[in-house]
Amino acid sequence: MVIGIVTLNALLAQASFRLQALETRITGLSERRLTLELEVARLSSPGRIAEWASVHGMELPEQVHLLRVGEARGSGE
Amino acid sequence: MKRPPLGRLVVLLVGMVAGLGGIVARLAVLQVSRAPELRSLGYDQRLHPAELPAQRGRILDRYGELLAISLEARDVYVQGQFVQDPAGTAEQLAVILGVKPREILSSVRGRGFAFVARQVDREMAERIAALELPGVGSLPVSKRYYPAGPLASQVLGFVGVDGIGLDGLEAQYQDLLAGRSGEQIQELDPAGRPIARGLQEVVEPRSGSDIATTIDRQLQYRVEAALERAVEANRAKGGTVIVLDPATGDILAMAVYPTFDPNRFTEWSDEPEVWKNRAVTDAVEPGSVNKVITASVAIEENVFPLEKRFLVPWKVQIGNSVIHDSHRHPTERMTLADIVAKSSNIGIVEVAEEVGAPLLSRYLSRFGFGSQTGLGFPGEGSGLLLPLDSWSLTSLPTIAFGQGISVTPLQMAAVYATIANGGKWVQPRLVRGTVGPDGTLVPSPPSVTKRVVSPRTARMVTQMLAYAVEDGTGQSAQVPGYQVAGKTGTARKPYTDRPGYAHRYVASFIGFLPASRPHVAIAAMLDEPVTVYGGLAAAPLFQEIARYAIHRLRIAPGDPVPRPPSTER
Repeated sequence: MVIGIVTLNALLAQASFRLQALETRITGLSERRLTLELEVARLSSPGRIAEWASVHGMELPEQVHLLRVGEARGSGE
Repeated sequence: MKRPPLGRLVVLLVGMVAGLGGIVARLAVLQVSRAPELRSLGYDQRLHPAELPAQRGRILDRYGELLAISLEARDVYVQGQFVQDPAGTAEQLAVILGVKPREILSSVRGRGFAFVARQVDREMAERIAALELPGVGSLPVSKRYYPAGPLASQVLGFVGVDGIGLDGLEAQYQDLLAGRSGEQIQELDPAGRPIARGLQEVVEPRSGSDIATTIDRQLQYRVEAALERAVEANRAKGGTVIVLDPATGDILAMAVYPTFDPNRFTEWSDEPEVWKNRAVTDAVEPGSVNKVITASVAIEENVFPLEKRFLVPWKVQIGNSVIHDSHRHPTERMTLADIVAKSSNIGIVEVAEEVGAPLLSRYLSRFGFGSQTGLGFPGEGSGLLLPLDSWSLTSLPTIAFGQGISVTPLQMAAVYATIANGGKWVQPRLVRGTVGPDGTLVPSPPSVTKRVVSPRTARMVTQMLAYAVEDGTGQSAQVPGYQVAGKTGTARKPYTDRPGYAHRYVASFIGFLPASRPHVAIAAMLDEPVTVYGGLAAAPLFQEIARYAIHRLRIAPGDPVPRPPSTER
């Protein structure tokens, strides 16, 4: 009986350590998710994209043409 | 064998009994009468309460793009009394923290607790912990990040090292964003490790709510870039632009230049003016953009027929003051539409004299002058509108063309949004709602609205504003393929230290498009441009922003509004 109680205690202690490790991992992964979210926001920020586009020779169109559906004309037969 | 004397045995026995009795008595005291106190002392040694900081809510743009987020960071501290080698400790910390050792040496040499670095990122804190330096530790804190840097910085504000919003939306929505911190009580061994199956009580923290703003991140960026270019091109002191949805009051973009990076806001500590959202906090004399109110009152109250032609010289004397138009011209016959289009000060003074001070004062209040918009933004100004009984002889004529009163750029933008919205004023707003953990938006209540002028008046004023852009002072605001309605303004700035006006100006252009079915109202203001005039300095800025807004918001051109009465080509 004594051996049983000691074994049970040891198992409980082991489970407790494992729980703690998992909780730490969850915290770490949550933090990692937020860090990645920040990184995505940084990479997609308009200033960074505009700078990248400018370096690669892109620019905003001077003229924007809008087509009204009612005025659309087909060119085929 | 001789037996020991009985007396000595008795003495020994009595001594032993007394000793044991003392031990029993002491045990009774420790185990019974002082048991609760000693148990508590034991727990105090083993139980360690720790605050669990709440995750601060994010700030998002109107499409859910991230504008501000908090991540876990660490405050690194030293307890000087436990440091064994101050110079060596400072040297090792300095390498990781990227500072000079002498900058932290005094903290390390001290006898008590001192921070050596605040809000360092987790990775850096882990590198410091790995050194296992005696007397050096770290505390978990949270750090605010603004991924787009200076974008909308004056709107967002910033957060101090203690996690409290100090300006902007961060301060306005502090309670909502901050959440509520929790607490963890753990039983630890002498080495500070948790005791397995020991006592552990956790009160979970409640995360702050995410806030969904009305800002469009892309549009905001373009507006800021255009404003910066305009300030530089016109060698202005600064500038402000507001882009509004007239129907909902949503502020799609709000830019102030010069600006700052809220990630490093302390670097601007010696020029805190830069932190201010001057679109909301600072009141300026509006100048000729205010003529739209004088014109609206005349139409709404049917003060005179719109075909009426006023005889307009280029200057008049009122009391001791001489009021004149911006350019010398022969006496002309002008309709109200001509007066608005040519931005004639003398013409609008004549209109105001027919309208009268009581009516003009009442409508200025109705348009929101002299009171805050209700945005609730920290430091929001209400402008200056003197009560009618304090008006002087020159108040009516000068207020008619926007001098002698002051308004915030947002108040003035809301006036044009009111005309664009068929005469109904809509309270501007910066926040659409809060976002729950599942990503669903809990919308803010719809903005407060009030009828200021009739739809007919709004329509007539719109025609005049469109005429001002087609044939008047606002031609630089024209957008090919679209009809713009708007008005220029060139306001002299009063001296700050004495009565009177300096030769320094605020140039503005405020308008909306398409004129017949407005989707967007834009206010562009430049502070002290060398080009002086609203039509030269601010109208091109308006045009650049309007062109991008058309593209970004997919605004289709509307049908043109007719020209105002008696202004046929």
